[in-house]
Amino acid sequence: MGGLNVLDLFQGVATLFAAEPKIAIARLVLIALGFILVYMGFKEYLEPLIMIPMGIGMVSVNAGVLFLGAKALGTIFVDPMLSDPADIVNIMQVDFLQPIYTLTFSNGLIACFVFMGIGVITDVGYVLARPFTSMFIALCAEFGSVATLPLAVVMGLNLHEAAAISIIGGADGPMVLYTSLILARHLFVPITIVAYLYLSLTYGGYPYLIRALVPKKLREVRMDLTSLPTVSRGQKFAFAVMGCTVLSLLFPVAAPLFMSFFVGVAIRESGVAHFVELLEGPLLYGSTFFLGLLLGVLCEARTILDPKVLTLLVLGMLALLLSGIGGIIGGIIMYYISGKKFNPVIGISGVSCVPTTAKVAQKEVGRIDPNNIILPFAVGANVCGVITTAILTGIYVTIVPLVEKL
Amino acid sequence: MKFWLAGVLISLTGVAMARIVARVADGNTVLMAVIYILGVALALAGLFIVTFGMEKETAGRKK
Repeated sequence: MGGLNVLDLFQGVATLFAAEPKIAIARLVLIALGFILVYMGFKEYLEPLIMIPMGIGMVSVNAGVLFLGAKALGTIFVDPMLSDPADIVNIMQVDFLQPIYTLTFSNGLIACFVFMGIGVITDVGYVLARPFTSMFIALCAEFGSVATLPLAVVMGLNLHEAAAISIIGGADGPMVLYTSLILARHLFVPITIVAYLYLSLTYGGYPYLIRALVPKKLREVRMDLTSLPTVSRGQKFAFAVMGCTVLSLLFPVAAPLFMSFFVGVAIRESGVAHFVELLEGPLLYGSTFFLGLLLGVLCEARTILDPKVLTLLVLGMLALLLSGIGGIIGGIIMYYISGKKFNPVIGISGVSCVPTTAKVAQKEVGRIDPNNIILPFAVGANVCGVITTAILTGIYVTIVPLVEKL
Repeated sequence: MKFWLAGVLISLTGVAMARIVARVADGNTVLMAVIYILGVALALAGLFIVTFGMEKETAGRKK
């Protein structure tokens, strides 16, 4: 018994002492952060669909580090750093989440699955009913995605990294994942985590932005629901097919994203009930669950400890803030264009975090006047935000590699 | 119907500009970029025009 080392019994603890101090500290911090995310998700301060699996993944991967060889430390969750095909096939026999990571994450498939689900729950009719208004607000709400790009370059990121972090301003998780996988694969873990953390915060943060920027008198403006026309299913279906074709022709690199979104829209409008159930249920929620879990598991101290993380945290916050401000300014401009008949709070829903920002807009208006319904108008801007963010993603992933070659 | 036709034609013209015509100007980077950006803008404008071709109903009345 005299030779027994207690630490040998608890490898998760022993590996803390075996690692460099900064890695050990980072592991402890990430375990604590995981606890916080789980708690915030459970209490619904943050989005529970993402935060609960992500927090548990984060805690578990940082607690479950073990000795893999004589001195080598690691986990048996996933190894995102592998690139050699033979190593990947070997590790798939060992790391239990590696097959999901390799076959759905690193090629963007999971983002496309989520996008199919988003497509099937999206009614493009609200966009088509008021195309100009929705498009104008959505474009204004891309302010953060555009303005953050040069700022990121000034802060030392290269053009690929800058474009990947800027797209957080579009507030669309799958799009951020897709862009960072294509443009800045080495940073996709921190960028995607920053994106999902901040996207969860929009529900809590944007109401304060609305109250700060939109005077109470303007928040009281009532919208005429009877003025909102309806569009037939056939026309929405035709628009989805047409939009998918043109955008795929225009931006082949982002064609998987466009296809995923518009196939969801087309299935919704075609009314194929079995496919609708598949996409809006098991596919969307299954993908969201594994997205959250894998994001958490990828938050292993050695993977995420990158000096650029702090810059990404600042830029991500800035992108979302600027997009929110841009959207509200768009709403205020529409208020004056429409002869003061447009509620400027709808502007925030141009930020495409579906359907969170539309709900935020309705909630803020409802605080002042519970009978004031703006949700259908907000959903229009919201859906248009998804489309404009997808287009901007297409532009970035197409143009940035070309510009860098010059 | 005219919005649909015009929109589709404008979109496809934009696509052709961005994907085919821009490549012809391969030697001149600035010209290529200008044609590409114009093509993208034209294609998106075409899609936008299509949205005005939707037959909408407001409170039982067709527009």
